[in-house]
Amino acid sequence: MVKEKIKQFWPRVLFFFSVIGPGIIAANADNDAGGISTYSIVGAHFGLKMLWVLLLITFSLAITQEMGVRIGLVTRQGLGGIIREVYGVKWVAFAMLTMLIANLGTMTAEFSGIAASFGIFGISKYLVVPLCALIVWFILYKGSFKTTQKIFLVFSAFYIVYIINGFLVKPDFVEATKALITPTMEWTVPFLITMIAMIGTTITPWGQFFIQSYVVDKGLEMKHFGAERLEVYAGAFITDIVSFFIIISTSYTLYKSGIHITSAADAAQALRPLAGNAAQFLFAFGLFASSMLGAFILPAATGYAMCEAFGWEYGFDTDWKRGKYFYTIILISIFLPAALVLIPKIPLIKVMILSQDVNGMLLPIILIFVMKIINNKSIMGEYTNRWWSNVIAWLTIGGIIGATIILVGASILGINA
Amino acid sequence: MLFVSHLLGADIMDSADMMMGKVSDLICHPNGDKFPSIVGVAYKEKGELRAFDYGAVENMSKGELSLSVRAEKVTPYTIKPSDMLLSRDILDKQIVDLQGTRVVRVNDLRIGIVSGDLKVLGIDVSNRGLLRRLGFDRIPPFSWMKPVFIDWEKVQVVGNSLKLSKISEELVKLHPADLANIVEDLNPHQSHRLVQALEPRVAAEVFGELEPEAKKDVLTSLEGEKLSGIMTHIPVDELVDYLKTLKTNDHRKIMASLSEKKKKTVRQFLKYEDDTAGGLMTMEFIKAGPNFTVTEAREHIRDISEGFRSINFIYVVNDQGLLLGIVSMRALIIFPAAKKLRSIMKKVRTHQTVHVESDIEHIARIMTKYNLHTVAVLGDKKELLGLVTVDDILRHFVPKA
Repeated sequence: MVKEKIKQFWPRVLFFFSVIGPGIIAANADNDAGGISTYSIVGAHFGLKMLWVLLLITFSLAITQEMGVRIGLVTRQGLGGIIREVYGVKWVAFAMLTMLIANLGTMTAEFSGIAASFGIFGISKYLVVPLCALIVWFILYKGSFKTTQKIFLVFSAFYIVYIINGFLVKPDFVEATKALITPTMEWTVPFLITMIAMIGTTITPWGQFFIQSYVVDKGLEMKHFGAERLEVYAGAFITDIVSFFIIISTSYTLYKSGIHITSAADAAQALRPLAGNAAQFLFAFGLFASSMLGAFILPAATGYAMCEAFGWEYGFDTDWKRGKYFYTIILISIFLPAALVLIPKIPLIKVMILSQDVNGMLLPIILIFVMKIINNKSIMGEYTNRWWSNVIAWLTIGGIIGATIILVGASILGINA
Repeated sequence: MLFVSHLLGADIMDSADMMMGKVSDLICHPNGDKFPSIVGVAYKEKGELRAFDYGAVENMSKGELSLSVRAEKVTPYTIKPSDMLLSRDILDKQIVDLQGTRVVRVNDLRIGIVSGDLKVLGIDVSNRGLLRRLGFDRIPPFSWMKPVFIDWEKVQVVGNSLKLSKISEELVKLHPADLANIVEDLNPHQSHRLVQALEPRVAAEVFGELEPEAKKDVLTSLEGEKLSGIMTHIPVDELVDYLKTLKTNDHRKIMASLSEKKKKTVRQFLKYEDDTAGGLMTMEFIKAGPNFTVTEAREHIRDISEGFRSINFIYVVNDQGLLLGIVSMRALIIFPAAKKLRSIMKKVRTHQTVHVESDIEHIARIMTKYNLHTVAVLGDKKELLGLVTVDDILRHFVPKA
């Protein structure tokens, strides 16, 4: 009898996850180590001032992810493959280099997140980072990628605590709503750096590759487009609801008491209204789980994209000889970032923010490729962009480039305020 | 060595050294030759794609193509839908490397003059080709790398817009399991066209080897005659297993594509549970009456065995379909032609068979105990329904191989 029950239970659980689509997964994985720390800093250092940016990039995220879905459905290829076939080797090499740098940065953030979460309990990063790197490699190579991904996806549902916490800090929702629709700028280096990091952690180069490959691998077709679009929009909305409450949580706790985040323990203080003394533990757990989720997805995503673009054999079912480039890319994207985090006295929180800046600054390059492809009638046929998608996407691209130029200018002029 | 990448973008100079334009593509007839010939040169004039006959070309080198006539004297070439444009259709696209049984991208194409014609000599799939396109291939250590070429005959082109004009003979010679891997590695557009271009019998074998998700994907791309053509070649037991995994719509689609006779058998099979003899058994076996002579039995095999994977025994049944005994292939060879099967068959005892509702562990035990490769499956009235082979048992215990 017991055996019967198990037999019925597991398929049901698995079925539940099989209906969770790419939009939700990508969105959830967006709130990784870089995500939590960036949103925490946004709220802790600048209060509600950046909420309007969050509102705008929610639309950008929805639109860019939807474009990825559409290209995937029409071309039935990954983004790397289609760039190669349409624009040739040189452009795809450029796109791949861009993605590789961004992804290595993000992986560094994930390992920093792992180091920081254990750091709260005083456990040395020299122990946990190499160990977690080995675990990631071992599970990718030997284990079931899908199952692991699902486990960590469940763990990362811990974000719900931020939503509850966001109510417990007794925020002034009128003030927050006002901040959502009132653009506020500070023309200083810290503000711009944090803003670009926030954009770069929400809309990511890897997310663009991931969503398109997912659609192709799942064998989704044009008839699924309506449902997929809804799912992607929902994903963008959900992820930014979470971001909103992280910002609210840190804003009404840390910002109010003037605490600057220099370590994960500081950021954990924001969860005190909900968890009291367990705040440290809760935050550490969440940061660890979301870092691990990112650390699983990114190396494989990088390997798949690069091999597809350059025509190397890939997949975990290939042997070492045939899949040597695939495995090399994966090994590098795990162990190089892990080694970087082991540099003594490296400021973990700063690494997490700066890696998201790198993502943000490189994002326009990837998005411009996406825009060129999606507006190409000979590729997309009747599925090219509507004018409003183009407006939102180009405004996003222009906004990031503009902010980057101003940031560079401000750094040169030495406006630090 | 000259490569297509050297000529793309090259200046076209006419006999008076006037520049006519830049090479934008090379036109080729895929006519099944070992080395396909280049028949035309495409270039852009005022943003429009034009082409001229290759005959006008006198000389070529990296970055330059010189003509033997004046620009206005070249014979225009009209690009036909069946033409293959090397840059548009081949370069950077995925192709199937038939020797390595893998999917690769075309990094470059080696070309050269063979008895007066410019021909495609080989497909460069190496990293050296990749680096050449990037302009790095002359710099050590890259210049020490060797290019790797594949012959035109040893590939299957599966371009995105190009129709699959011809399935390579080498492709059909591949093992269905290798072909299935290739189908899984290609992007869905390409794999659908590849499966559709295969003969139904081959397509059915490949279909059987695909992973469940790939099966579903390929299935949705198949319609009408092509679908029923493939479905008639899939053994009933495999088909039933597959049908059990499908949702109503796909289920209906496949059932509609079957012949009435097969539909009836499939319906009956669908009633059996997965891990019972009924769910595992195959109906691919040869039966004969007890009064058949050895000669008749041999002829019978000759007539119907095509399409069977392997035959070890003939099953001797009476008019009511009850199993009387088995005759081995060896017996059929060594006994005189006039002997009746009744006299040479080996009696099958009931305890060496399984009931249609026996579970897999029981079947495995019987097969192990009596050292059987195949075991007969009987119904309630002891009538012969099918066979369970050792493969079916193995597949059940090791599903992912």
